[in-house]
Amino acid sequence: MLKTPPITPSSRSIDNGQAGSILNIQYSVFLGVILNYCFRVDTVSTPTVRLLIDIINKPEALFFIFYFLLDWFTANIIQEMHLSKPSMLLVRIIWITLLGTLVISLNGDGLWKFLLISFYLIVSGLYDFGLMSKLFAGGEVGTQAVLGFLLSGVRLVLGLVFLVPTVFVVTGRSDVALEWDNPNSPFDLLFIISGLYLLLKIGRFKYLSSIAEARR
Amino acid sequence: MNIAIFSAVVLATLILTNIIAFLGRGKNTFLTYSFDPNSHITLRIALSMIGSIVGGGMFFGVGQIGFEAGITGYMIGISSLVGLFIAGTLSPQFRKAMQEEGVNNLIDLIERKFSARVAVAFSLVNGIIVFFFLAAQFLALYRFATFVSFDMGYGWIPWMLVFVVFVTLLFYPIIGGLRKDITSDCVQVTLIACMAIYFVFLFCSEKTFYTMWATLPVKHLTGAGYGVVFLIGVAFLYPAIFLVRMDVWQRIGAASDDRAATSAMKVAGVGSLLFYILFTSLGMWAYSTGITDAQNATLNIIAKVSSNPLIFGLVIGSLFAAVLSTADTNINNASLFFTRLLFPEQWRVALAKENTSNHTLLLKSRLLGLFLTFLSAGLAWESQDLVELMVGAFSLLLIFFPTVLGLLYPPWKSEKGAFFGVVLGVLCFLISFFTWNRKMAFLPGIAISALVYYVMCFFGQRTVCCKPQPERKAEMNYLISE
Repeated sequence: MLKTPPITPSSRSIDNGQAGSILNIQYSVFLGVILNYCFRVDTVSTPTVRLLIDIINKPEALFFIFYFLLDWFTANIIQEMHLSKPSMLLVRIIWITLLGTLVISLNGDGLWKFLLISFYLIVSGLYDFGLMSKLFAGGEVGTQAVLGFLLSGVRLVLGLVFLVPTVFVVTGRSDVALEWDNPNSPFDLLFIISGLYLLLKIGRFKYLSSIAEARR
Repeated sequence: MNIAIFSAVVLATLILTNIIAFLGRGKNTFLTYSFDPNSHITLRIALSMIGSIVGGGMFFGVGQIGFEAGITGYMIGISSLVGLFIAGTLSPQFRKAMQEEGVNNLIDLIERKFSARVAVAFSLVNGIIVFFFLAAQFLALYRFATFVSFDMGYGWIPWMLVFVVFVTLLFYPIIGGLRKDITSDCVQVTLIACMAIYFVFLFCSEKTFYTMWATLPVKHLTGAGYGVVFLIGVAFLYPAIFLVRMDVWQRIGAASDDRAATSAMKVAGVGSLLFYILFTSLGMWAYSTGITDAQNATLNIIAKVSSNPLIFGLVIGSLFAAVLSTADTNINNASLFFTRLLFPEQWRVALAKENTSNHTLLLKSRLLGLFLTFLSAGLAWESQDLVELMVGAFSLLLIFFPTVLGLLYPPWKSEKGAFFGVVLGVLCFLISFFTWNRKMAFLPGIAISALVYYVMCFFGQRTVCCKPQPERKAEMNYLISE
């Protein structure tokens, strides 16, 4: 007769590798959802693939698709460096869901997307600060530490800048928020700041990869 | 009668500042005058940091930004919050680095980490930047006196008050140094906070803020009033500035322990953000009420809403407190940078051992402070344009750009290039500033700095660091024993 192994506290909790696998599944599922929203395959006459993103008027949606991919890669590096506890898995899954929803909402016309963006970017900036503190806790202050904190700082500033249109959406001056999302305006800030945020994400990815490489 | 009440209130605030600054005067050494390490609790450091940020230049400058470009001033506040948060988070490491190298200030740390020449270049550029900031504080006083004297018809009284402020500046920052600077900042920031509470009350009453918010044009509310490049420049460059500011490092070192330094910087970040929001809002309020003078927007709106001489006196007293709180730090820093430049050997001896009272160096530093105060007052009188001075000060930081790039990318690192590039860049800036276009003077300065840096980097020998550590330690021992 087969005996069921006793459940110990260690067997109930998941390890770092399992947490990484679950995160990868979550990212891939959401990537599928995002791609489904971005492309449509027509098979009625000749099979064609249509891009549903309005690249001319809403390039920021495309930026954030790349951002999502980079976030996936970065999450793996963070997992590899054991900088995130497996117990925080649920929070991270919710976070990926929020990012996925944000990417999809960027292709729409609703102004409430600003609330979503500012919330996401501010919390990400604060999380980055915590990450850098963990990385350089008690260590020597070198160019790498300063650069890491500055990178997080600029990300946080850009996140806080997004509070501006959010406040105006909430207080009923949607004309200001519309100016932020106006492709014909020289101050199409949503496009410019999203682009910069993507560049910072690339910088952060390269930065964390170099640290992970050095620690291997 | 109104003028008498106004003058009495302003004079009372000045006297209060002086009394508190000189309460409990202890023995002053060069160390307490310059860096006063491990001596102050969180609240004092936080208030002092806020005081050195919130000054007369900010009173007018940020108000003008609010008037011309709306919430762009809020963005600067956000960047300063983040910059001070980074400085706070890194402050245990900064303190540890200073402790490990046996120094108590940024200049000496740069010398240890890089070389004596880079430290000289750093002192030179920062000395000039602080000197320009000091001139901006005097210009704020000059603006105030002109406005209240001519536009409000207060006659010679404002000029007399400005003279009293100037005389005050010749006393406590120069005699007391950093210790008195921090003490007096506490009372000055308390005064400014009282003024802030009064304005918050005004904003809340009669739906002022709501009306302003609803009537301002879109241009004032997007954050890109000065263009997108300005906004991005603020987001990318402004937080970094706090990591190389001498007054920030001074206060991190002066905090009683690591925790006090960290908390103080974070509290100061929140405080400075609130003041940026307040002054910007004042400028925006001035715009929404139909005032047309951008340069004096803050004063105009204050005069418009504060008809009571007692209130107006308190507000102007707070403006003076703001000028004093920044100017005293600038005087102290300018005198230290130039002391380090002119008397490096005596500097090392005076700071190498605690409890060393080097009276000669203290006297020299005080005299330098006195001289630079008069000189910057002269520059303010001669320039009379706040934006020229602020642009001059901030743009000088860009002369360091090639050096910073060299630090991040080692193959481009050149110690000789950093020294000669910075020195020649500064010289070129000064010549252009005084003989050519003042707002554009930074361009040839930066061009020369970059050119010299990269030419020397390309042709010269690329060095990694200065003297080896044992040699440096031997030199220090020799100086101490002397």
